[in-house]
Amino acid sequence: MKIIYHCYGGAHSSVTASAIHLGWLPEDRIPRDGELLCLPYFDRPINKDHGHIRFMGIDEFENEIYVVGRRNAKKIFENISSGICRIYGWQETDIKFVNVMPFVNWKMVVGGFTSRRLLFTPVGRPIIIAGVKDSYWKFVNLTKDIKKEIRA
Amino acid sequence: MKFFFLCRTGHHTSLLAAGLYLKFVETKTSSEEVSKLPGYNEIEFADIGTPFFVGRDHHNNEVYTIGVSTKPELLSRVVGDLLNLLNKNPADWQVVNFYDCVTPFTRIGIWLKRFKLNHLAILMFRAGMRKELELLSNKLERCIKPLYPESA
Repeated sequence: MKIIYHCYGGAHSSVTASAIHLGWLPEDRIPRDGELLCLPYFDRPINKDHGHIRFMGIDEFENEIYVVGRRNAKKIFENISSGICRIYGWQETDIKFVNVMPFVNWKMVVGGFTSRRLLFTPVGRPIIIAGVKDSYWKFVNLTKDIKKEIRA
Repeated sequence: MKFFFLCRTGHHTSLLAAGLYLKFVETKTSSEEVSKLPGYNEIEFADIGTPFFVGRDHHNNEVYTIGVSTKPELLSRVVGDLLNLLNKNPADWQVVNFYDCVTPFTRIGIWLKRFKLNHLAILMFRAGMRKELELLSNKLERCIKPLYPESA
């Protein structure tokens, strides 16, 4: 199965959720700053990277995990994804799209904009990390729910 | 092979392109006749992004249109990467972005349609049609003719 975590920029919430899913980040404690900064793509993508579906890894059930930033085109992205999957006969058991945006908080928005759009990374990055830590348990619960769903 | 033609809504400019490619219409066809293409201007804005099947060419290739609203670069990357993910053989699909062929008349028509000013919108679509058909014909020559010299 392919699981695609998507968010605005594909740089913070989707990367964090996919990393938790892959076991790269702990499920029993808040990660340290360094653990987040070591993640591939964490606070790295810029505008021209949006839209690219990037491979993160394979989980313990052999599912392929991807992330993508789709800016504020959530509805169109969902229409395109479901439509193209239908054309190729892919079912819900073959591919799953997970929207991580409901768990994004204002710190992640402000920090993300400052770091990725304005490129004031030394200012934005600590704000993002604080934001990710604030929402961390929500990301953990999300990935647990997704794993439960795909095992059912 | 599957062709995916992109434009703002998937039911205006790209549909004209598909109509030209499939020989449903020609560059000299009247705007009134062109407007009768199946699916032309038949789109709800919430459905933008859902692929629309237009027809098959004489090589049995399927032609679809997809709307990308005002985010052509972002969503054409999504379409391309998703197709790559679902179908590893790039020779089995081609994405052609006709966003640059959308005339100001069509843009204004889409805007009017948003405000349910449908009669004015149709006037705008017809006003831009002649120019768009020429632009689309040239682009089809460049993008599709190398594959199928007898088609464009």
